Amino acid sequence: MIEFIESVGASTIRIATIYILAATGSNFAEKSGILNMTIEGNMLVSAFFAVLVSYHTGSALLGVLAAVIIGIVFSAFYGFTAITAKADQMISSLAFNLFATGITAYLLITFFGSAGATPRVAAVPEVAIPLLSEIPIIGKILFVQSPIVYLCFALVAAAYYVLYHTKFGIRVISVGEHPVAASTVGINVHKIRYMSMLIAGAMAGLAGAYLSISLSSQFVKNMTAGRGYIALSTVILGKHKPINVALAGILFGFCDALQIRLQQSSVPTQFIQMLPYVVTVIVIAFFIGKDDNPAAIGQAY
Amino acid sequence: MSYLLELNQITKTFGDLVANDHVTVKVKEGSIHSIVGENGAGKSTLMNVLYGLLKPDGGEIILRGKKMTFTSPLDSIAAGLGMIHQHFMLIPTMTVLDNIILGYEIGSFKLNRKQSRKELEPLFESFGLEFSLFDTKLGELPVGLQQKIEIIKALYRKASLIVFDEPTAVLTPQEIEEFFILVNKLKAEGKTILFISHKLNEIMEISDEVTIMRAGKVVDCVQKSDVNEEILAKLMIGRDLVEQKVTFRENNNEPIIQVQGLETEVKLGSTPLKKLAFEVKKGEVFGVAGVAGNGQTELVNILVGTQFPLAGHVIINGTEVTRVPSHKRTQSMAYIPEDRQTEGLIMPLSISKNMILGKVDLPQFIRHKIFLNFKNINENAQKAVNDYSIKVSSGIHDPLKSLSGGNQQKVIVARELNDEPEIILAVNPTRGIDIGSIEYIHSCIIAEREKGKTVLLISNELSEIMALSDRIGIIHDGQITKILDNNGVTKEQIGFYMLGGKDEEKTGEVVAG
Repeated sequence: MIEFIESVGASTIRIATIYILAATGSNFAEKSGILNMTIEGNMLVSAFFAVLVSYHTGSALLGVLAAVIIGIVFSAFYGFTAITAKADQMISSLAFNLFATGITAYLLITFFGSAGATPRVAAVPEVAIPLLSEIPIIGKILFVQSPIVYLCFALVAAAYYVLYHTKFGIRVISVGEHPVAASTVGINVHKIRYMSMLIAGAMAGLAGAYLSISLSSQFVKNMTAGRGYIALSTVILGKHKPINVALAGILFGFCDALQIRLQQSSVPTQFIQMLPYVVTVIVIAFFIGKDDNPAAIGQAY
Repeated sequence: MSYLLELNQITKTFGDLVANDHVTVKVKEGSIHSIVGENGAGKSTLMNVLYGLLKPDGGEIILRGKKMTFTSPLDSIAAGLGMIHQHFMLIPTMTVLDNIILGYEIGSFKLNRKQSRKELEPLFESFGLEFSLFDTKLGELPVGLQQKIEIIKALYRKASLIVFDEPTAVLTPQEIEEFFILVNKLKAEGKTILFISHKLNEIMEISDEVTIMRAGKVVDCVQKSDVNEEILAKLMIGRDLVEQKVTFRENNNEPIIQVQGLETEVKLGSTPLKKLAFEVKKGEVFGVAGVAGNGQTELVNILVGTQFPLAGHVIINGTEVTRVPSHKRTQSMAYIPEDRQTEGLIMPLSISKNMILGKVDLPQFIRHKIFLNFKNINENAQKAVNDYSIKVSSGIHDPLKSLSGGNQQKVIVARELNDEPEIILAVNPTRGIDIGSIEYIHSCIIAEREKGKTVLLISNELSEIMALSDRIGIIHDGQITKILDNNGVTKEQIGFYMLGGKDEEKTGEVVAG
């Protein structure tokens, strides 16, 4: 039993990290009034470049850095369409995601000559934190993880602090709620939105790298498999509040972890694989209640 | 003579439209200067130029003798200008403190809320506000208080010239009283006030000097003491206002609207009706006068069938309609709603389509029960635009939101009166529109009365009620407490009942349902 709790617990945290990283960053974009559905595509492209750089340099760290940079570039392009070009954000997001699917499949063949997956590359190793990892149960769940997991939890705390206790934070909230009001007190709405979008991009890039060279050690075609959309739901379930978003990420991570474990039982795996998605639908339909989206979300200024 | 602010020969055009045509306004330091004009006279454009939101095509802004160039609100704020917009520039989900400091925060990265708060405490004290308000969500405050927060926001940025754009439009009568006291206090403290309005009684109450604008130009600048409301009205609309007043006539017709013993539940934010009753006779204008929030909203909802009462009856033309939802009603009643933005009009839709809202089933607008008859729809709209002199910029296919408030209201009136309804329900039909349009809409209501139509007029404007009604019912605390013939009654008499006054001996007589 203890072994079961430990393994499901550790697996929950491992998977939740994808959602929490991506959602925590995306929350900045959404708070600033940009509907950010590009997490899926962003993670996919970043995941590919993490593997590509790691493959050629042999350094997982450089792979992670490359992914973060690609994430920022990707979101800068999306930001341009949403902020400067004032495009419809839903349509633009979808286009970026479709582009990501196509370009990664193409690059996979170009660079690796494979239609399905890359070879295995240098990955970020798990690090057991001395002492803490020896605490019964908790130690195995929380403190024998990838450094990116530890970084993720630090980033959640930082996001909370930045959003509610800094000048930048209240400006992000103001441009998402009432951009006209923000501009009448001299706030540059576009600048704040770009900065928020870049934060979202960096964290989606980190999430992508985590997916390909920390959780795994290779890129597999279409490996995000809808996780970017679950990250989007994570933001909504967490009601755009950093701590709640992290808790929502853990809930989705838990569903995934349980699903993996239950595949060994007699229930047909197809049903079990539906679990995270069913939970998403149920939670969004029945537990979220009145939406608390920023008032100006999705509206160009 | 020292002027704090001089706007010299400001010109601003939008395409062919000259919104400001060599406008010159000079504001004395420490005075309350009003700029008055109808909707579309160019007041808002001028203020946006002053605030740095619009770049003028010509002219100059001189502040304390120095020529200024404002390219963004940051510049004008830094120069000591505070603008209180008609629609508050506040964020409902943020706290009061954050709203005040936004854009003017202390601290380079981390917010020093403590320091900001300390700096704001004296201001809060001088406004008589509790410090606990700092942490309250702004959206939870009543509108009057939100406006105070806007003023504090401007003062915190060291504003010495405060511009109020139509500040009373959103306030209740009590809040307006308080607001005037506050403005006079600001003046006493040495602030200069620029007051933008089209409400002449308010202008006369508060101003030192008045600049009158019409069609993008300054018509005149006068001392308040040299003018009265009539003179201002004449300057503002460019002609004499036709005084409109119906003469009371005896009416012994049968009642066409009967409201009996209406009661509604006690609910937060609503005034329960308490056996509210009255009758409207065929061919009369029955005015319901009262201070806003005494049950008018509930009464209107029940009359149009969007809310059902706990008890009581609404009988229209002999048919009981109390619990018939509005879409199933066959006893047609023209309805001019209070809030044209959310009821009655669809802003992005064209003028011609707005003209057939709720009327698409009429045979002239539909072919074979499916297809719209655009020929007739367009003719109908064009006729209404001509008949009601609705000012459109290019034509009947313009989106409705391109019209001024007064012209939007005329669209509703035109649509509702188009098919000769027997009964008309008008709720604050002239709220927030300019005097020219008010005059016009009043003349329409009077014309309907002359045609023998029945009008139920519910309004917060006592002068409107007195000008148009045959009989006046006073609503107070969910009841009609008094019904008077509009035959020599005075404002004071009606006001007495509006504030809850009762007849000693006659109490109860008119209330009984």
